Amino acid sequence: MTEALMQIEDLSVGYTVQGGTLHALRHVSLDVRAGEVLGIMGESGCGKSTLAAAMINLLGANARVTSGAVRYRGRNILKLPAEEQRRIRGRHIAMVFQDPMKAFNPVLTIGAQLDDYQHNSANIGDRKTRALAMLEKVGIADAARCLRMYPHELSGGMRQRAAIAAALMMQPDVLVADEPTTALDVTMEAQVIHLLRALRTDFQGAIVVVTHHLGVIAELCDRVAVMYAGEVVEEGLVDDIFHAPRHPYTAALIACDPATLMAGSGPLPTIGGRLPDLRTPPRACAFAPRCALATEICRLTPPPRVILPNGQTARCHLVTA
Amino acid sequence: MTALLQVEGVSVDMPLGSGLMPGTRHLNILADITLAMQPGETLGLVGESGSGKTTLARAILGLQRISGGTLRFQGEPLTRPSHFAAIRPRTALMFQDAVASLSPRMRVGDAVCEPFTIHGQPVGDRHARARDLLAEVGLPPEIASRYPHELSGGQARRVGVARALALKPALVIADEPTAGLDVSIQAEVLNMMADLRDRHGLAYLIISHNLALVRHVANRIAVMYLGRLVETGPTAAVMAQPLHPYAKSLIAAEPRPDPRQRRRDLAIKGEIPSVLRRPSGCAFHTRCPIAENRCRSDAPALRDLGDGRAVRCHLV
Amino acid sequence: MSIAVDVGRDSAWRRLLRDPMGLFGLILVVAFLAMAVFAPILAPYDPIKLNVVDKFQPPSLAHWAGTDQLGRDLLSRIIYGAQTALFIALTSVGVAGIIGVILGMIAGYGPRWLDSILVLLFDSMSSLPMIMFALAVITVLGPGTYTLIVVVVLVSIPGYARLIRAQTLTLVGSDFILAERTMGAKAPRILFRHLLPNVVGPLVIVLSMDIPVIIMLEAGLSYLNLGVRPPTPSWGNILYDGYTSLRSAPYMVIIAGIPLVLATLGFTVLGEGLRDALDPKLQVRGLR
Repeated sequence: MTEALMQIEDLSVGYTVQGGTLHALRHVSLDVRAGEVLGIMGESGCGKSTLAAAMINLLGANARVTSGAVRYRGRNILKLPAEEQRRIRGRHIAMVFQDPMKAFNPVLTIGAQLDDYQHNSANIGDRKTRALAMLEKVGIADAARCLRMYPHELSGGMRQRAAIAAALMMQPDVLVADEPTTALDVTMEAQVIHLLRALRTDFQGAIVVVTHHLGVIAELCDRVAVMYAGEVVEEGLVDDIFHAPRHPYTAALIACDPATLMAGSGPLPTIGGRLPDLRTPPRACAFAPRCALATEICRLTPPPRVILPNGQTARCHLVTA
Repeated sequence: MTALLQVEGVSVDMPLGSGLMPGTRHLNILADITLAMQPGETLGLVGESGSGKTTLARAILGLQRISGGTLRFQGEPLTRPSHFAAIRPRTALMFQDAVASLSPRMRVGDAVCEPFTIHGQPVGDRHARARDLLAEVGLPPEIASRYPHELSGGQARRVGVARALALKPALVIADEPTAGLDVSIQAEVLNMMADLRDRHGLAYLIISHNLALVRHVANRIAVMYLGRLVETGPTAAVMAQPLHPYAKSLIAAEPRPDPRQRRRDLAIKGEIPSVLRRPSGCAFHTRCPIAENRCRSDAPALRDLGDGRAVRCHLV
Repeated sequence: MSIAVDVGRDSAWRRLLRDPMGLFGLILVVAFLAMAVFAPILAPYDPIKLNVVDKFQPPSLAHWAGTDQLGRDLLSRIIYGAQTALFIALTSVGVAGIIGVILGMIAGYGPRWLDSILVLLFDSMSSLPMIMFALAVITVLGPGTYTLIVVVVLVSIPGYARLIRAQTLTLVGSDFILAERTMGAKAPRILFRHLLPNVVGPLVIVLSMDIPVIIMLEAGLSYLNLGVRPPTPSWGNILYDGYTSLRSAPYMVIIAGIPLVLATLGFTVLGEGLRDALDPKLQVRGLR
């Protein structure tokens, strides 16, 4: 097993809101390893976007880190001086957003912006060659023409490719992609998934994909962390998680996706209930009120993090190693 | 039995130019759309953005003028605005963005009673009526006093369904009924829609790019590409064995939640061209893996293959 | 990054009251309204009764604000002046607002040819030089309170109509209007039940911020003897009298200026407070 490029250790993040603090992340620990695609999966409000923002140190102004660290090559990036943080961001850890329109300045051409990303390289000719090569690498057929275009002139799929090219321009070690295919059509989504998988093979770093789409995780990722109510409830290899989920939440989530049922008739399974109010997070298992298997102990004590022989972990009282 | 909805050879052209000087040039958006829906049937209309599926829905409801072909609802032809006005109580549209489809300064209780007010039908006790309609979609009565921006995505969707069903329509057109919803909420909304269909004998026309959703709810499926219907047929048959190369690629491109069924190679390259630059011949030939010379010059017609299936391709 | 927060119920009214500047503006405006409404009770003297014996009296216990060149009590004239100023400002803003809303909604919701004609009309109206136009109307109709109102209404309509038209245009294509159409709602219901409540918000703000401009315009034209006819008390007339007697009674100008400044400040600050309070983006509590 390769060593971790990034380590998230016992990370807790809260947002200041009316009526107190919203505990968006609660004691999250996760490793990001070189050469893998890690998926972070969960429904809205589970804290996955907060986790992605913490990984690139772009938490909002009303966010507060209440415990833990995000270590990149051993150093806690949350505690670095602003200048260092900026240097790590982009050069070592880069981000791709759901809406690629937001990643680009609307009044500059793609070429000018890809040029800006290479502020370390002095030669203009070199920079242009590298921008062209990168656009070709992400599958933009007419790269020279694309360099002269403005973001709004590209289609959604092309724009997302260009955004990936921009993120890779500085040859980062970690690429964090927040819902990279959600805004795209099915055929473009398939192409972006294909592109990210292809990148993984010739890119030494790690790719972190944050999404609520189970199909994207299954198609793209090597390992997946399932989040619920600000916690990682289960983590393991995609094959294990999709074929032998141990946490009841993971199992329920996979079951209620209509894509898992081939013949369509009869009602879909549902989970029932709602997310707990994260301003007053439950002390015991957060999923217990919605869990069909919950027993007395689930409602009283926080579940342990059980490590299974195959490396899969689950935060549940009912799982035994 | 009379078909609930008949769409025959419908086309839509939009004029280029505006204001006091309308242009003489037109942009073709839809052409030669033919399909029929039976009462109680669920038809899934799939295609990527730009395929014209929303324009078709608007044309069916008379919100978009058609330039050719005929529309019939329960046998009655729809040609003049008054015809469309007459069928309003029997049709309803559910919007993709459920919050945006609710009047921002109107409380939910008034919004769900709006169809009665519009058609001058007796509401009786407004509070009781609102409570009943909300209960039908599984919402508590206190939701009635809320404003749309105070609702969650799932609640807004349910309010949209309650309003759509208020007058017990025969046809509900649902535009991306689960877009933006979480997997678990999506399942609840789909179950509720199925339950209402069974209880009230509704027909749904579901517009979506989510194949998994369509496969789950639709009896029949219609695949669109760049303003043309390329394949129709019973859902199970089309999903199991798509005939049109675009339908094949679309079904193959769908990400499956099973890591053991990963695709090795790309099902389809490139992207849907703009309607401003419609390819000659078969519109799909620029991306088609099996295109021949005649596909570049001759536009294929929709051919009936029997068993309720029809395909628009030279090579099938 | 965005995060979901519990959405609270919070009326625009309560938000206005919580904003110290908005509250300040509201108090000033209410004070002026009270002054205008209760002028007969509040004013210690008759504002037009001449008393030449007591002319040019500086402020005293008998005359808190002194008297003018004809011995009229200045405080009473200022209190009654509020009546004149607010009557002109509120009437003209109200009439112009109503006409602007109707024309703007017709332009935004009606057929495109009608929109084109109306926009052409608004543009030509607002391209007239305002002062020249005002003088021309006054020359034809003769100076006076109602002429002033006509001038202000004609000058204000294009701006209000254009604002409402822009608001309407952004909403016409929105889903909730389309939803009404699919339910079969007729144009009047869409216009008055659904569009109107959503387009007037920004106009209310503009109107409230225009009121001080009109009060100033009234004072200015009255000062030039083109507005309110003497002896009707108006802040502009008092200012004019003050300037002509600047040497003998300098306090007159200052005293007539104070209500003008305070009214302008009150309506402007209230307008800004309303703008913040009505902003739908701030309707989610806790994100302010």
